[in-house]
Amino acid sequence: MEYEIFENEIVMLLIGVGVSIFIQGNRRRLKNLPASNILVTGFCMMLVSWILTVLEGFFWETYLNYLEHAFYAFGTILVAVWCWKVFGSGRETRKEAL
Amino acid sequence: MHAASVFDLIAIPASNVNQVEPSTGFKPVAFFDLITFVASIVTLIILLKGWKRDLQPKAKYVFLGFLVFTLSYGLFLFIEWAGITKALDRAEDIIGALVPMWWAFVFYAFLAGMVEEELRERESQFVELFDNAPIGYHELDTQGRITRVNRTELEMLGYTAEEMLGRPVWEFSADKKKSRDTVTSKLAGDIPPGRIFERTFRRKDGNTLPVLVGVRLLRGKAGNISGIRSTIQDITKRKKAEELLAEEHNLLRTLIDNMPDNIYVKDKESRFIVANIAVAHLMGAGTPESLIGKTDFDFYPRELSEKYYADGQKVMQTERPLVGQEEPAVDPEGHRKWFSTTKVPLRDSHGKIVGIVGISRDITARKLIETDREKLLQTLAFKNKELESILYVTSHDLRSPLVNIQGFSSELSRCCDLIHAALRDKIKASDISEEVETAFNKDVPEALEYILTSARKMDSLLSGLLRLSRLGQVAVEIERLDMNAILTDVTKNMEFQVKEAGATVKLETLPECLGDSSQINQIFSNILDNALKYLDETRPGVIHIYGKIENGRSVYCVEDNGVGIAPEHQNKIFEVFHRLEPDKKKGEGLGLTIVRRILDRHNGKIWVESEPGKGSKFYVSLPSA
Repeated sequence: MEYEIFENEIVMLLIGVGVSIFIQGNRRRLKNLPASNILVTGFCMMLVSWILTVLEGFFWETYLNYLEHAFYAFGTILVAVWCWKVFGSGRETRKEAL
Repeated sequence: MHAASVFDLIAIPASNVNQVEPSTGFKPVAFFDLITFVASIVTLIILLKGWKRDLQPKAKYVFLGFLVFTLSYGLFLFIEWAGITKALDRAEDIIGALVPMWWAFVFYAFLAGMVEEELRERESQFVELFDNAPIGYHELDTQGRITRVNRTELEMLGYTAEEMLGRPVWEFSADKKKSRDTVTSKLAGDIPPGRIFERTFRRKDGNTLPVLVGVRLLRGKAGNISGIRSTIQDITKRKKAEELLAEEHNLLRTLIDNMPDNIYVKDKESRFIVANIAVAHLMGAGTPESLIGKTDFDFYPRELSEKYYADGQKVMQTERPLVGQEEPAVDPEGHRKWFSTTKVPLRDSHGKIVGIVGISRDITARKLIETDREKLLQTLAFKNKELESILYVTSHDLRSPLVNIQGFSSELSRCCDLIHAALRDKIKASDISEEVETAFNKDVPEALEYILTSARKMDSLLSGLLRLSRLGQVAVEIERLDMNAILTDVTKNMEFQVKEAGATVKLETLPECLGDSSQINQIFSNILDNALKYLDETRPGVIHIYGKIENGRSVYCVEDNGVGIAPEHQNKIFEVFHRLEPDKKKGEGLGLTIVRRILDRHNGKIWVESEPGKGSKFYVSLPSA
């Protein structure tokens, strides 16, 4: 079995893990963000997709690749929803959050 | 990232030699990538609309970051569509690295914003606290000039911040010199910091403001004194309270010092902690202050001191006051004195007994008077007894010669009659027959009648006196009395006199009382007899007897509609031998005297309310049963 590891994927994953640690460390503060659950969930989906990117180099390349892109897409949708909730028209919490 | 492109779903050029996967059927990867791209575009639009309004700078950064991400992703898709797969790898690397970094930036930007917001909020809270603190606050530089002052202090002194800032603090003090000296000494490090002291400030309107100043030195990084930070607390109310307290203390002190009574406070060991001038004089201590901390043992004989000590300890232990106890004392000259003393336990704010408060009044004069009165009463009682004895003996012994007078007067009358009968014929024949006849028939009988009448009168008086004197010797047997039965008995016994007088007696239900049955019977017999005796002949006599309980005593009233008693006689009717109409009415004038005498022995009372021509009310008060 031939394993294929890409450095950039490892770097992405490491940065993603670093961000997740940062989020965990500042969980209490982040809760004050409006709709913080959506934003954090979006991030988590992307983090999963980065993990899957790395894993697909080892096994089930095709299926994991599908999943990777699917998570990425869902994560982006959640970011869009969060932006709409926070920066969308007439949101009162917007200024307070920023 | 081995992502295929959305363009794989459509026709891919045949010349594309680097195609990763054959373009046959549905390509999920391309589908998801398309969704990602569309979602990115939507997000950008939302952010762009927000930016047009009033987005904060950080949101703009987020927007820009996301713009880069979306454009990169679009480029990536384009490259993949164009079939430049080698370049794709590079682009993928760049985008792949950008995405998590963008996330990191987003979170950092928001958190930094939050921290900044928190700092701003804290600063705002601090400023709010500083300005609205319940105490004044200012800072001075090394020259003693005010560099910072809060709103509370400005309001206290009535100045604006502009009027205070930059001016030496002592300019606002009532005692400028003292304030300047203190501030400069502190800044020079001559006075240790941390002291709290009182100072008087002068307000803008000229009024003074007493304050409590707390001082803390400010030091630079090198440890040198860089200024002073002071807190100012308005103590006007406290000062007023202190003044009021001092006034009250002074008032109380003046009051207790000028009281003729001895006032003192002792602690649990019976040491004086407060004493007035009267106590100091009594104990020969000179001033009240010289008594403080001392005990009775330092001034009084041991026997007396032990008694006082025991009394005080008893009051503290039993927690019960000692009221009006009469106790002896000795003044500095050695004169024995008497005091009426009240001792009450003294409690602290927690209710714990910490001593006693004593007030004693000099009752020596009263005691002397009481002693004299006791002696007088004893003498009086002895004299009364002696008088009663004389009265008894006199009235008893006088009756014997009186009986002789009566007897021999009768004998003399009989002898005169015999002599007259024997000499009647000879007298008629003689020259002096008329004078002798007159003497025998008129003068001698008249003289003898006078003698006998007077003797009877005297006998009656002596009998009355004897009865009166015997009253003091008869034992009183106090019992619960049914007054209804007694008064029924009295009226029955006097039924004949009542009928003879043509009177009516109305007897109501009477309350019980305590007394001697026979003597109480005599009281009401005498009063009823009196009422019948002095009825008004012009109208039918009505005697009304009723009673009630009043203040623990049974009060009875015998009311008649007789002739009444003139006010000037009302106090005399109870005196011995006093009679209202001696010529018209029979009697010795002893009835009411006996009534009062009996009532005296029963702890009773009699009084009369009367109006001439309308009638009288005789009230008798006796202990209630």
